[in-house]
Amino acid sequence: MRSSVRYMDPTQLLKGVLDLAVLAVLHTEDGYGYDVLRRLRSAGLDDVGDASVYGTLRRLYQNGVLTTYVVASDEGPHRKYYALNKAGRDQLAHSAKVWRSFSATMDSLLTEPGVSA
Amino acid sequence: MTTVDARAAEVADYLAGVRAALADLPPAQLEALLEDLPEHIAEVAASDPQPLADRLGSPVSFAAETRSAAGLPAAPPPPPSSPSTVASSTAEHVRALAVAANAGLGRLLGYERATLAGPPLRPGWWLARGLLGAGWLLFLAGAISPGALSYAASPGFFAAWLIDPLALLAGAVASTRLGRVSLTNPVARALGWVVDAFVAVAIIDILWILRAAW
Repeated sequence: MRSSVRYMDPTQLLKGVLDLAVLAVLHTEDGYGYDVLRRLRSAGLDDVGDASVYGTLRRLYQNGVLTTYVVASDEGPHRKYYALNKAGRDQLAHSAKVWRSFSATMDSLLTEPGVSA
Repeated sequence: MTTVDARAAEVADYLAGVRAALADLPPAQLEALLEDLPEHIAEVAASDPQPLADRLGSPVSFAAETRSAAGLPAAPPPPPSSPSTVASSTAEHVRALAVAANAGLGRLLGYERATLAGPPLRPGWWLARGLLGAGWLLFLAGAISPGALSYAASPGFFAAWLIDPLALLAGAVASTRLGRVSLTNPVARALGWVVDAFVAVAIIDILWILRAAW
């Protein structure tokens, strides 16, 4: 999108932190794809798309930071649950540290005199 | 067809569309990527009553987003229309050659590209083709029936010596006017091509006559 005034686009921001968000959700509790999406949305990431979450889960799984197991269900389809393994927990810890430091830097920039909204 | 069947068919169609848009991926990668997509889409269909495409976007855009989130390369551009890659690479070479020639000839003419010299030269061509076309028509008229022109110019009507310059002037004006209109009017453009073809024949004929005269 081209315009002379560019406001920050949450979908662009989300791209950089979706891995971290998915890892955090799965750290709280194992989940299947649709469930992960729903939890991200109810946490406030309204703009997160089905395809982004699905693709991210598949990539994290391929990268070896997630494990999967299938849970049969009486009504409806069997569900494949994703869970963090050791590598996943390490990645979460490391990424969380990077995010906190980044976020603190942005916060302090935005609290400089004159910037506060 | 029941609503449930219709929904299942919608899911199947959607999945087929996504799969088709990812068909360029190596089979193993494709299967790994799509492994639990049927389950995911079925969940969406079961819990969200709106049409799948309203929520998920088109299968093609869903595939593109999945691909990008999964860190896979974007879909290659659609294959060229030429039947073989050999032909298309030949076409590529010819195109590159044409671009280079365009640039080289353009420098010679003092333009960035030779094709840029075309538009400013157009009015000159319109004028030239009008003069040539009218001149040739006069020549033909004279050659077919030598008496016709002098008859038209016969007593009190026209001075005979006025016929040629007036015809040439009319040709130049009409041709220039046609050229100007043809910039925006497709009918005039088609007519302009007919005139161009006519004048091309005239030029060839004139060259032929000159050659014979030598």
